[in-house]
Amino acid sequence: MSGVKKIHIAEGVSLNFIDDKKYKTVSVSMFLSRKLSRSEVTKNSLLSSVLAQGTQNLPTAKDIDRYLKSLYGAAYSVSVQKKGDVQSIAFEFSSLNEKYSEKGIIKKCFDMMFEFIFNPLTENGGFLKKYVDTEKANLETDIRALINDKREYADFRCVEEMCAGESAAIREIGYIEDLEEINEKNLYEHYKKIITSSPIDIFVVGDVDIDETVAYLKNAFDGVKLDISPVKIEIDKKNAGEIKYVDESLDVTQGKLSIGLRTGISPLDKDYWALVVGNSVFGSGAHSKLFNNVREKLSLAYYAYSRISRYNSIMLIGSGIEFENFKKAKKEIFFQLESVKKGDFTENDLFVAKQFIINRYKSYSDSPALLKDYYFGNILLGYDVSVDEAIKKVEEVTTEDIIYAFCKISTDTVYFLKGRE
Amino acid sequence: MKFNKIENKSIGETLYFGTHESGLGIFVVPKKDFSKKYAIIGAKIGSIDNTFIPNGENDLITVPDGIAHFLEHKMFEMSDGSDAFAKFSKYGANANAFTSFTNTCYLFSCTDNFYESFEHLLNYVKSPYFTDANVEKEKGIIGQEIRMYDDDGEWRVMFNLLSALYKDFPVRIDIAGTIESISHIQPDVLYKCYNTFYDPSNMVLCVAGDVDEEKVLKITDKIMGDKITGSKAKSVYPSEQESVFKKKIEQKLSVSAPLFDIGFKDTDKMSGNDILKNEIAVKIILSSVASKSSDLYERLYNDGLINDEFSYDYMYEEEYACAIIGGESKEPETVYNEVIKYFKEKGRIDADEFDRAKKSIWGAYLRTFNDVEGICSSMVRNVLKGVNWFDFSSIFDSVTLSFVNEKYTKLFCDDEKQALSIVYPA
Repeated sequence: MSGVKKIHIAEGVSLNFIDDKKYKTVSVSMFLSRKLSRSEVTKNSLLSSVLAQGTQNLPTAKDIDRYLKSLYGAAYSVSVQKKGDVQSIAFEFSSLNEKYSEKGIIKKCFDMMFEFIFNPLTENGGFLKKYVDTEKANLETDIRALINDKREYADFRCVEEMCAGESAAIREIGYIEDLEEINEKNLYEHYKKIITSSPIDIFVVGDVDIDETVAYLKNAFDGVKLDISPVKIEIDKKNAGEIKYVDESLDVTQGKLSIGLRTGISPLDKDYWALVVGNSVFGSGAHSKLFNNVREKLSLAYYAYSRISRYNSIMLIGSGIEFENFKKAKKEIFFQLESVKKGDFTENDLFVAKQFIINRYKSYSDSPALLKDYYFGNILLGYDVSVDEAIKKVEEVTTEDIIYAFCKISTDTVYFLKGRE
Repeated sequence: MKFNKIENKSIGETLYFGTHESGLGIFVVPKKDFSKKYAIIGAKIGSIDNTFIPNGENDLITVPDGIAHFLEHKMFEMSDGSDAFAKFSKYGANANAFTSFTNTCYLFSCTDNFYESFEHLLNYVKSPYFTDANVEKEKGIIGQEIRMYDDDGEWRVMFNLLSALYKDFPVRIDIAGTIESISHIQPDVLYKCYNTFYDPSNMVLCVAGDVDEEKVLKITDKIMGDKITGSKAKSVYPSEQESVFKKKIEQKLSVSAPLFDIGFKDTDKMSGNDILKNEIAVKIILSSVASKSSDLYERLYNDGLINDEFSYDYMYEEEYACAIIGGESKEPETVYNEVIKYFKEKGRIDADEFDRAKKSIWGAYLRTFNDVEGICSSMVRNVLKGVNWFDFSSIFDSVTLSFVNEKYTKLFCDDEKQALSIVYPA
């Protein structure tokens, strides 16, 4: 299992290096983290697309794309993501390593990444008006497009209903109603503020000369005036009140049932590992109760799953069903949930549920993306459980632990997306 | 069987391959430093294989649409009443399967218990078990899978396009069939499909990861040793006209903005490594014309006619081939006209575009070796259509600018070969 080496670059800026020579690529991510806030979420989202449009040296998206192609199709992106109540702007690239391409390619990619971060295209003390206006229109289209994937839409709407006023209900992509207020000037001001005040975590996975990389990064931040205070995920363990029922109608042929539950467990709690294993017994994977009963036994659905997040204390159950099977599916799902709470599963079920998770953890070491995501999550959570330790914790979970953890789960919201009458 | 070995030093990879006594093609790519191991076995039967002479019979039969996919679902049924997932789960392996237009694949990945899982993979794919009850039960599940895709705008816009491009060729039919067509599926016809297409000579096995190729072979001997090599399955496909069936097809769905796909029907006859050669040529053209690198993209994007969703795809098979450019636009018809006009006016790919596209395609090829799944899925997909995937670099080198531009004129400048599919918001 690859370990992570943490190296100080500047105050509030750290490099996390995963030295693994087996990849053909070098993958780099640079995360700027912000406390997720309704007031700046749209700005951050818009900023990520404006910054991707051009830099002083590569002024158009066409220039950027042509340059990337000439670098053996290196991938480059700026995006926003959310983990719990933290929003991060991610600058990322992945390039063939020098052994399989040409000397100097990684430096070229780093140069380009820093161009995007520190050297955006500006005019009259703001971003290019043309770019900001186009990206505002595109962002509006993207937000409207959330409705296109019905499964994700139902899950998100369920959380939105359940967590109104909480950070979990804030969409990292942003809100249409905020766009009007944003222009090339105030967005640029926002950029200048966040670029120097947000903690920066850089991840490098692959075969690079680490001394050279560290020297390069130190130099890149040399002279940049930073004033950074740390950002951590805070987890709100709310309890559910009376069950809320929400219906919505769209032109669809399949109903989407989405159930939101409060687990009462934070990933930092001891019970978290029992929740992980219990969720695997209940609804994650082809071995799970939901798959074997809702799908295989009752033929009600093609998919039925439950999932939990590492960054909040919410469980989501989702399934696509015939409209008229709403009651039947809901009843079966709750019946299976109760059976986990009662410990109604065998030693073999427990073993299989653990194997499923352990296999997934062990696979992390073959994926730069998953490794970065896991260890970046650790930084934001402020804890230090390596993948190997996580495996150990999963192995130790007992049936009693699962019963104890699952008894804390309470149903909050039942959301159903159905067709028009 | 004895393995042949190819060492490709320039990409740092080794391949063991051979044809097993049973007729099964075997490919193993050792990846010593990886934790994950991956195995996939693919049969050359997809949704287009709906008319054939069953093994041991003399007459052509036509089977219900969606049967290859139905068969894939039912292969997980074991004769002891359990499902094949259960054993994989016990080994900590993650199993799955999928059906495409041309093939059906069964796979798993794991970090531990590889050989046990591998033996199980071969075993269950070798042992069909269909009953009236288990076939009936699946109709509800697949019915919901079909409905799920019926509500998926991107899926619909693409399948509608295929039904406009092709008049008779069965790629125009949805992979899973319809709720009506699968209602006719019974165990006997599933067995006929199985016995015809799941002959080892019609199948390919690929393994990648930190595994011992000889052990893979030994287990294959043990499980597939008694599978008799039959005659190679042969589907009969209808002949397809050169021009598109319909120029335009439209549907309304619950989507936020109109979605479109522009299709180009490639009617060149090709087989073996030539399929990949043509595919690379088309990729070079699309990557020059329909990516952010192009003047067309830049203009349409700045005019607010397209957004980031604008992208391209292609399908290159022995039996059919096409290129697709698609996206989201408030004016899909305008985008269509602009794209077609641009192709004509531009007329050809220039040397700079060709070099850039080639570099990035080479990079993408090397990236497939970054993980065991990438290796196996590229391998199985290509080998099943008769392409020797490990010949990639020589095929790649054989694609010249003049070859690309010949393709350009033939495929992208012929009005008879273009169609437009649009899904409008309901």
